[in-house]
Amino acid sequence: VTVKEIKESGIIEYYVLGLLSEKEVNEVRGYLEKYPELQQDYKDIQSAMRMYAKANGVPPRDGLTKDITEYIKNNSEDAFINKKTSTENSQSSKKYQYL
Amino acid sequence: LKLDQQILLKLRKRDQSGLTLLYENYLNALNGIAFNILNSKSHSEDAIQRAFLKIWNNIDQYDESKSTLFTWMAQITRNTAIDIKRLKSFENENKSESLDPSVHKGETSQIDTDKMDVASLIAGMDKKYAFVIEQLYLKGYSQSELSDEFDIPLGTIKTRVKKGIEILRTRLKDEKKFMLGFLALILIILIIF
Repeated sequence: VTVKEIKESGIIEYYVLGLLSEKEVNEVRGYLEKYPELQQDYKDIQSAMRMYAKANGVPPRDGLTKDITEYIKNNSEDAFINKKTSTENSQSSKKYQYL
Repeated sequence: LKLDQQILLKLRKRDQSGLTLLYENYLNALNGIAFNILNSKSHSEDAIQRAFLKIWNNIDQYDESKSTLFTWMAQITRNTAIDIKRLKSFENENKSESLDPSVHKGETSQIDTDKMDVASLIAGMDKKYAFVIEQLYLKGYSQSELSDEFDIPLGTIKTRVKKGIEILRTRLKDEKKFMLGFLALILIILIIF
């Protein structure tokens, strides 16, 4: 298969959209490794879909972020880092805001 | 992309502030995917929570060389929402109860205000291109489901997806050009004064 054929087939678009079978996924991953010139195309398609998803974004209700964090805390396989480090981090992110 | 690296670093260190960055930058978009697939606030919240837990638990398996962070997270969210949708439709079939229509009405009118951005993004795009992308990427349809339900041949779907995404890519490039032009203009004004 040539690079041109791969580009024209639309298989990379389907890969980014998550519509391929496992076999096809491996096929595309093989192409991406074999032909570095596909990388720009792949990158652009991903950026386009991210922009599309953001444009179609739905704001979560108030407090959902808190609930997600709580849900992760209750169900995750490993704990969050200790409190001391997280306060350090929140300070550094505050600093970042002022910059 | 620097932002993504920052998020990754924090998440891999199990630092909660990585989650905050995720919420700020990607929650709306991921929530949009979940909501579009499930068309219910409570179900999409369920999907989003499960998806974020998977993202948190599997962050070490995410490979930066294989896809961008958003593509990876969007696929997790999509698959999680589709799983819930299948489960719920199975439950509903057995209960033969319909969802409360009043709840649905409220939800739909709320999203309409956010559709403004989309409208400009897909403005001028042939409706048939916009339709297939919306159904496949946002509504969680598979190619064969879309083909069967709307009687569009699989090859035609593929061509339309490709053309639609090409238009989105052009829009993205135009936007970048516009931003660069805008920055250049500011720079010139600063230099002059």
